[in-house]
Amino acid sequence: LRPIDIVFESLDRVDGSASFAFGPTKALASVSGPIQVRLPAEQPSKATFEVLARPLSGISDTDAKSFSTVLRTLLVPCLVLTQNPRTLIQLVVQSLTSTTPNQDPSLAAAFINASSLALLQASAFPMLGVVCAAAVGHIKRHHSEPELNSERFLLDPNAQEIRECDAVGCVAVMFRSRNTSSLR
Amino acid sequence: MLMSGLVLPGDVIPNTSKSSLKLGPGLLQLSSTSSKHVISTRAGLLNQTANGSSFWVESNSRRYVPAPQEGVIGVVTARAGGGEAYRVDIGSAHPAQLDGLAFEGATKRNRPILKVGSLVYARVSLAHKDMEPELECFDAQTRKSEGFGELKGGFMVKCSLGMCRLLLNARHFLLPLLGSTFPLEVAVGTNGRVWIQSGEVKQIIIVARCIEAADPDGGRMDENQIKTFLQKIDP
Repeated sequence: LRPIDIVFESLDRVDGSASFAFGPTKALASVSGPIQVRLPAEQPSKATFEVLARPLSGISDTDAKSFSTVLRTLLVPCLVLTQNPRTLIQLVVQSLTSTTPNQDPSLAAAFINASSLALLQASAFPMLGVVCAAAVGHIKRHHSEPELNSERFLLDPNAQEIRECDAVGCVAVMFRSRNTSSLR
Repeated sequence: MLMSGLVLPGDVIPNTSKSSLKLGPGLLQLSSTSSKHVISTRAGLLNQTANGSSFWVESNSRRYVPAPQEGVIGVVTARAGGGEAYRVDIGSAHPAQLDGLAFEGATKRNRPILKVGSLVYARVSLAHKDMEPELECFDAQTRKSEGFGELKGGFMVKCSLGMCRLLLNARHFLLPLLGSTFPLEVAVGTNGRVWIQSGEVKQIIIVARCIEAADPDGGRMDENQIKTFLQKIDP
């Protein structure tokens, strides 16, 4: 794993904000909610959860929009939206590196982790768990003797390690129901 | 409040299988066919009363979600209900309704008229997730104003919800420290808003800056740091 850097930014006009970095790959997330929702987006029995992903430069294009949908599907299971109906919970994630999340799995992982931290800091709506993510690379080495074929997984590969991998992806896990009887 | 430990959302709270248990903010009971669990729904410190009958999770946030019987400070934004009621902004997702007759000794012919933009200190009488919150400007039991009503003059500052709870605690240092220096009138709303009235504008500004400095979400200063800070801004 590259060195992880977490900062709770405490941005002024939002309810929770945090930045997460795996080495140089950094993302910033901010959450506001429950706030007033536009009438077309209002839902009678639950809060509307909206995710906006922004690249480092330029406007949000199709790439950013498709990742926002993925991020939303990923985070919805950890929120209890029924406690605040007819409101809006808005998450904005900003990339602080020039790669895109669909091509760079460690940026996708940084987005997910920054979002989780911002949601935890906001604490104004109930949550059922915490989602954490990391990029994983797979290296398969072929050998002339079949018994010596090896494969291994790399956690959070950097740019050079990614070149050696035959497959790279982002793995996200939701943590919940941790037994706290050992806490004192 | 004997034991406290850090909890994250989704953490199962032990020792909660008693039949009569009070769950405070930040806790949710999940019941399925196999078991009943109490889980934490936010990140914070788990506290419980000495006899283990009440649990709650202590955390700070900036966004107010209305709860009944809380004193809040609101800004009148409009007259509603044909002039009979007021629409008040209390910082929640939905604006609250304050009835024109919800004041001490108000009758149809004799009731206070609030202008748009005026501040009120009111009690949340109804806070349900499916309905708009409702406010009243009198105490629930005595039906007298008990400090609720219009707040004339002064200045309103915003702070985090945790700071408001600290200010409402009689043992916190800040308000007695400031009150011993100059005459001060303060109304603290649990919705993240504090109204300050004092003799001079300069004193109001000092109080506002001290609240910002002592806020656990802002300056995070303790008593000695605030005293040094006061020396700097008011020599």
